[in-house]
Amino acid sequence: MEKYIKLNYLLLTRLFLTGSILSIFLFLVNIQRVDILSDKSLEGIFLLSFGDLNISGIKYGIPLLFWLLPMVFLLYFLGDDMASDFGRNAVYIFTRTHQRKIWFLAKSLSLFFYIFLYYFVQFFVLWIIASVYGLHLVNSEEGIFVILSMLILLILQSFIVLLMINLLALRTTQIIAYTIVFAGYIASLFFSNFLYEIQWCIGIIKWLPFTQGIFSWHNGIPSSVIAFIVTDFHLQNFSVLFSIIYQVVITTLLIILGTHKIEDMDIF
Amino acid sequence: MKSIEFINVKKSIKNKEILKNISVKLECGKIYGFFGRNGSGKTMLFRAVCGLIKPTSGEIHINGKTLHKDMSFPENVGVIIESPGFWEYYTGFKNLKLLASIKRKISDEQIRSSIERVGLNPDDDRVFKKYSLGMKQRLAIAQAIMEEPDLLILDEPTNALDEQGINLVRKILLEEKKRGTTILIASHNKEDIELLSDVKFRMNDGRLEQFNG
Repeated sequence: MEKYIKLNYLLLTRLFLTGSILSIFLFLVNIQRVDILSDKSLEGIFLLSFGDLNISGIKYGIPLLFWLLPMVFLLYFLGDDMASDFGRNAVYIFTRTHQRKIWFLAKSLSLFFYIFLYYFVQFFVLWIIASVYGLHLVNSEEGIFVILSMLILLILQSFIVLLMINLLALRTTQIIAYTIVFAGYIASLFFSNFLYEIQWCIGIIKWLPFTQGIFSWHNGIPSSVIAFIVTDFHLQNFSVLFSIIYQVVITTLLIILGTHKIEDMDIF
Repeated sequence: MKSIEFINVKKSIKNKEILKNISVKLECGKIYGFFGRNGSGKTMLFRAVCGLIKPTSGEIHINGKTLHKDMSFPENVGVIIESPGFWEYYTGFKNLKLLASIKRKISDEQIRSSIERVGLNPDDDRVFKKYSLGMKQRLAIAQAIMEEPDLLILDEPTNALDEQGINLVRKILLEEKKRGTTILIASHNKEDIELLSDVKFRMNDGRLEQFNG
């Protein structure tokens, strides 16, 4: 499989720089609130930066904009990673090997690695800046749980979104693939806001694929970070573990679908 | 390579018939020229014989084996179809080395020799993105011939080449033929077809007809 994994070092550099700059931006945006709310909580600034989308504020756009910001850069850099590589090299690769499935798995793995690196850099840089500023974990055990949970949820969420776009882009144009998936993503968040506003069938929200990455909507949020959540909204039986399993299942299904599609598809 | 046989091959895309009932047998060791207007079906025919697309109906036999049943693409084939696509941020040598690593059949020396054969410098440290169109086309030809294929499928191989480049490619193709390679070449350039081909075909609206003109 390693022969199909060609890491693009320019792309890695771009992801590294963008992740770092984004962390600095998120720190500057959120630090004032941490100063007001707590005694130098490190887990607090992580929650404000990566873990909370104010459900009642989605309709106003601004919270949504901040929530989507890291994802937008990721889509810009990686939205066509698989499809463009396929379009560019497929003729040369698939007249040398029968292993289309392996190629798809290798591309999925490298996509996952890019996403992991992007978020890891963001979390790492934020940790460093916040520590230099004087923030620290108020409760070590809870703090590590909160930060790791957010990192895992965001990586899996982004992987699903990017797999969907890349898979669609293999079948249609990249712009249509972006539009369909991104519109679906935003629509599911607005739909969640709508259900919240009318207080009807709220339980549906936990089954929507694009709400799984929002840490603050889960139950079992540690008390040390509750104060940082803007709207006290938690779904029952919506644990972090549930979302991890849910997203792993979706990811597996997408990869199975992808390997089957690529095996049969015409290469134009 | 013994023979390539198309038996009633049809290909339709969105209800439009691109290849119409193509039946022809190609013997080994010859150069077959395919001439025709844009959109006449030349590239689609080449994609079909490479195994990149599945015919809607009909069969393609290569050395007696049926494509998409006994194999998914012809063994030991060199291909150029449309514009050359490589990894933009790697050098020409690195690009070919990556492709050669799939089959692991040839050495670095053989890769270098293929690059030199098309008039490029294997030690050129410019990345593919910085190559001129002619250099990109030459690298694509080096890619097609580097593993000493039994079958060469070349769609517009002289595109973007200057006169010297065109002459070099013609010389390489004749050398490859001498080695016993079967070559399928499509071109807008009637002169390429006239000069190189043992057998000439005209593609017209998805139909294939042999011609002697």
